[in-house]
Amino acid sequence: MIEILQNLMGGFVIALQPYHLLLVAFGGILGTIVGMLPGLGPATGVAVLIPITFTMGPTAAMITMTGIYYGAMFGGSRSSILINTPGDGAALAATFDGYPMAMKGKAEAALAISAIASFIGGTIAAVLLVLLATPVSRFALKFGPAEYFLLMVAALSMTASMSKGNQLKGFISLIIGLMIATIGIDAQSGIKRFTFGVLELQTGIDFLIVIIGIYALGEVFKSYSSIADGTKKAQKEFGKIWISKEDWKRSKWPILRSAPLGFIIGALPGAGGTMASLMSYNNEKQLSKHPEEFGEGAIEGLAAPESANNAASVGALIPMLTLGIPGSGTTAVMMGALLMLGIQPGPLLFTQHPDIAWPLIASMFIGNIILAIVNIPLAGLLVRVLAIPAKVLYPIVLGLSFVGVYAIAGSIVDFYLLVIFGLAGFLMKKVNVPTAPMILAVIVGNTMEQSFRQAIRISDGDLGIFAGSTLALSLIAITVISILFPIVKDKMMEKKAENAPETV
Amino acid sequence: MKKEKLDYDGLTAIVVILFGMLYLTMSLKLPKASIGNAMDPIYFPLGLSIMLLVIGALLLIKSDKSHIDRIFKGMKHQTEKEKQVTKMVSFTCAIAIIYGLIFEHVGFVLATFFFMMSILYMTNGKKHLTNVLVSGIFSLGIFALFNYALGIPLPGLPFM
Repeated sequence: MIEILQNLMGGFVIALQPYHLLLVAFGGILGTIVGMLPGLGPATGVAVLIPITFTMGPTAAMITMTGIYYGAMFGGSRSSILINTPGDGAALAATFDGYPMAMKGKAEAALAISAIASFIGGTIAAVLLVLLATPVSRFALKFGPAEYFLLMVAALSMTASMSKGNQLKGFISLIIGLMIATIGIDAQSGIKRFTFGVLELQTGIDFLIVIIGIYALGEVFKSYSSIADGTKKAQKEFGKIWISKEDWKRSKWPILRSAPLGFIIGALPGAGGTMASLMSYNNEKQLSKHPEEFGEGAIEGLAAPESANNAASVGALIPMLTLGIPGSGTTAVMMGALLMLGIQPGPLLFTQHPDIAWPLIASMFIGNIILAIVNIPLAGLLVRVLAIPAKVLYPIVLGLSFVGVYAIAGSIVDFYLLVIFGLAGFLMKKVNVPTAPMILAVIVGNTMEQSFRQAIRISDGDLGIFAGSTLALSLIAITVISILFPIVKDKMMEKKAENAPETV
Repeated sequence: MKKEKLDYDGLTAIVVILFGMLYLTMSLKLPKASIGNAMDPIYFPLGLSIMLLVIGALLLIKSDKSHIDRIFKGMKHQTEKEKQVTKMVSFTCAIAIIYGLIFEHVGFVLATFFFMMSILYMTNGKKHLTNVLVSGIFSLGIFALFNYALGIPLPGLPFM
């Protein structure tokens, strides 16, 4: 425990350096702006802004990205509240009561409570992260290649399974991602795989291109349909952005309850912020003494999901930092950026690079404070971004994507790959194939194959090694459960629906 | 029954199965490794293609095949908005390809100015002043940011 505190203090010393503080604030503001754009959430924010971190040191880069991530989470709910358009899925729940509040002339209280709830949720979750990070990474050190392979299988299949309502399509996305990862020279045998004679493909397709293609280009393509709708009028003049005592009394417990819930859901691969915020919303509605106010502008209906959502974003960092397995789109993007800087997240991160891991964690506390400051007194200023028409902002996001991709390797071939993945992302969304499993698979694909082959080599070709330890068996069990659970649940729901009397 | 929501499961399944077969054939044709187990680099891709084929087949069995036919029929009478989006996406891709083709010849600033102008013309219409300003500031600003502040060199102007 003392050791953890010492590490954290060390982290704070680094994170509090003026340069780092500036980066968190800078990332936070940029992230807030991107997050406010309809349809563009944290994953896009981080993806588009990755290039600015290329030449920073790993510590500074991670700190900036955390700022962007948090900023986008804060920003997403701004547009939910003011124009009823969530920046991303996780901010969806904020439209349920946030927009009605703004309609009733309580935009100030709505903006304030969402920032306060996000701040508290994020901070509680960061404390939980501090407590859990070291034990989890110590435990993960016990994993051999076979267990590590199974762990990735379990994490990926959970992500694919949780893809709402279309498990099969989640797995399709997952396998295609793994296939993309096989492109390039095989590190163990030197064989060229699927390079089609293109020189640039020999080193494989950089996952950042896939990420920027899907999350930046694909999302902008999808958002083209909203350009025709024109800019929605957002309130621009605000009174004092703060809440009353009464508001606080109503929201305090929902905020505190939702934080740990959000954290746990966020830490599960595949679940993430959207599920966390929707679950906490439903919870509060059920616990409330006046559930009829939900959806009509109940302040706790905004506070709870905002707290859960930010707590989930912190929870999602646990598997990424300690196991090297991203559990969500955004953390996959961040992991991609880390790998790009030559840092391998995973159990060794905390022992080999405490100088990166701990300042990152410390910067979450600081980022939370800075963003609360940015988002409460300055909210009136920031939301002016919403007045800039999307028709100008989307081209800028496109421009940034291309520059970003060029900055990775200085190759024009990557432009064409970017277009291909942008189109793929657009079409996948159109036919309802989730993109997150694919992104995750592209990132861990290589490691996964290498662990598989290492395990096989250790056991001399005996597949029994994958069932050779209790740990391995439990991971297999988790995988099986994660696949079967949604199927069983669907069947039970169907039964329920059949038995229920028909209501019109 | 006029505007029933179409799902693309059947169509997706067919595309996925075709892709899986293509990948399977290519995996089988991969050269054998000269060191270690000759089949070693092939197992993983092979396993993936088989899994993809199985899942594609499952999706096809589960899907409502009548939708496939209806999607193709529906394509002819897309809504105005859908047509608009398709047009915009195709235009963006075309501009992006031209951007790639001219990038190394005319340099970052000019190529990017062209790219931004074209995309803005599409999204923002004929508001030339805004378009020129945004494109100009963007291409020069990003060039300065990358070259001087971030130390990532971008190809400059052709005559420099």
